[in-house]
Amino acid sequence: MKSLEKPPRWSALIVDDEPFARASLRTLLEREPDEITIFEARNGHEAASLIRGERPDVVFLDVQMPEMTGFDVVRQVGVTAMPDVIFVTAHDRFAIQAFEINALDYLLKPVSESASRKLSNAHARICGGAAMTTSASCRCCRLSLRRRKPSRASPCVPPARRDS
Amino acid sequence: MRVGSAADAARPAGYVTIPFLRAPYPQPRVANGARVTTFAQEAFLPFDSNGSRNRPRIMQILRTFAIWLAFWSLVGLMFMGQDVTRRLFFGDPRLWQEAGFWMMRVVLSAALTLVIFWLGSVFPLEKRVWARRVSLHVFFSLCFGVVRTGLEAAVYSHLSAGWGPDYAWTQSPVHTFTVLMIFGFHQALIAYWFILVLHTAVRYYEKFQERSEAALRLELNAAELRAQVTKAQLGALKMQLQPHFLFNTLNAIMGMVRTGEVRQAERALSRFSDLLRAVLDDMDAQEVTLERELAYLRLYLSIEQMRFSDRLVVRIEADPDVLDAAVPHMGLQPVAENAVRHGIGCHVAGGSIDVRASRIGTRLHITVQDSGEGPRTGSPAGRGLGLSNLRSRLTQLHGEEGELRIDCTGSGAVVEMILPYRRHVAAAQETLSLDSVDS
Repeated sequence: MKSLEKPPRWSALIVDDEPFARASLRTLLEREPDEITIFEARNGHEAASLIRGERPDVVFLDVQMPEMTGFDVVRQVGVTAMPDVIFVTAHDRFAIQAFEINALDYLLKPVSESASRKLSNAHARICGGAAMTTSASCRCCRLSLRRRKPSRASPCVPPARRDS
Repeated sequence: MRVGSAADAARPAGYVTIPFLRAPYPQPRVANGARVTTFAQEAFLPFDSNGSRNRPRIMQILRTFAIWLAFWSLVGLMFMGQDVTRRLFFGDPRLWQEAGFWMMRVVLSAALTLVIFWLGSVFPLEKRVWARRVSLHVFFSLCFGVVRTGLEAAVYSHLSAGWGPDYAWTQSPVHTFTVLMIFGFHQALIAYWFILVLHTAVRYYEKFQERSEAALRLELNAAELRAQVTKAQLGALKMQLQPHFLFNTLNAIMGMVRTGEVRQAERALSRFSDLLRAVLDDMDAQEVTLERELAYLRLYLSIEQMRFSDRLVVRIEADPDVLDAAVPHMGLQPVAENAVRHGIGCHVAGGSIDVRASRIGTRLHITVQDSGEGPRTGSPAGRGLGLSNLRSRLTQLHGEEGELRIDCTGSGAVVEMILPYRRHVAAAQETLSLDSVDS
């Protein structure tokens, strides 16, 4: 029954100034069973315009980029207008800052297979433990966490930290 | 809760915890675990609190007594010698008649010297209360004269019993006292004040010495502390540069592998390991020769060239006479990184990086110029954490003589590192192998 279901469709934006870093994440995302539309941005300016134009579901955002850092991108687009963000960084000293601006998660470079696992975990977290292989849960994930209110009708439960 | 725990787990990487630096407390002069006292302290300051503390006070006083007994014995011998010579000259057969008297005076003088020292320590002549103290010591000196003369008179009249008609004046102690007061009281006063002034002078000299030593120790400790802090800060700054590059490079190599660029990944790994080996070799060095630094830079830029898909042209030129100059270890790396990121990284067409090193007067100028557009937004200082770290390192190493100039006004950016030219102490280091770069 499950196999007959169409794989969920969602879109991701990869923002990194290094071609191989982008290619690496793209390869990892392409291994996912879902149908993912992948956009790429080489710098913060491109990222901001793609976020506004394409409205991707998830943004993999490199923190340290020339001229405009990942945090600058969030500031420019606006926290409420931002899709879910997974920060990608060389080391985790930005982790706390990332969570302060409601990042979904963060990935450490070199990005390993755990990227897709983190993505699944993030989906599961948003959907209160629901698997991300169903259209319903994926639909849920497409809604930004910040815009969602916890309700009886929705299985989505925001993480405790967000309430504070 | 869950997010909180993730944040707790996020420990900053690449941060060097500066160990708790405990400033050594200024210590007194100590040898073999025992506090060292000078001869002046032993001879003059047995009652001062800053004397030796590892010996009982009574022993200290006895030592001082012994020193002064020896001194007064010499003085007594001189007077006794004079008396004996006089008796020889006049043919008096009782040559040693007054020896006992002189011995008594020697012991008495030594004991009374200690009394003066004690009075000097308890009632020191100090600027604040000098008038009161001087009048007090005038009174003490008068008492001293009376007591000393009284004791001498008592002993003298006792010893001289039966010495003949010449010593008739000594038969009554009161008469002896009166005669000795007439002839010896002023001597006692002079002796008192002479010893007191000597004691005060030594006391002030010792205090001055102690203060200078304490000041010197404090200064040395402060300098040591500054050096430790500087070293720790430099270490921390140096370490901040590395993890970022390290993980980004590993990420790029992983990307090469994932996208099937296996040969390129091999080359990158080879160069990366060369660079790591070179950096680890000089891990503890704050400074290396320019030649070695340029070798790192070539390796580093060759890796960056691969990361940015060979869109980067690198030219490095250095005057041969500056290759032995001391430069901050891995100092050029953040400059080059900024040139790559800001000047080249954003442009599809790529660009070039020119590194030049030359000596102008007593200073070494190293310029890193990129052909990019330079930042159009933000301040030049905002070009990166690496550059501000480098600026801090230059200040730590060279003070105001170390400069980092950033010029973004023309086409591309020029970063100029200026530091005093100084030959590196280990200029004879073996040349870094660059086989993997040349291949």
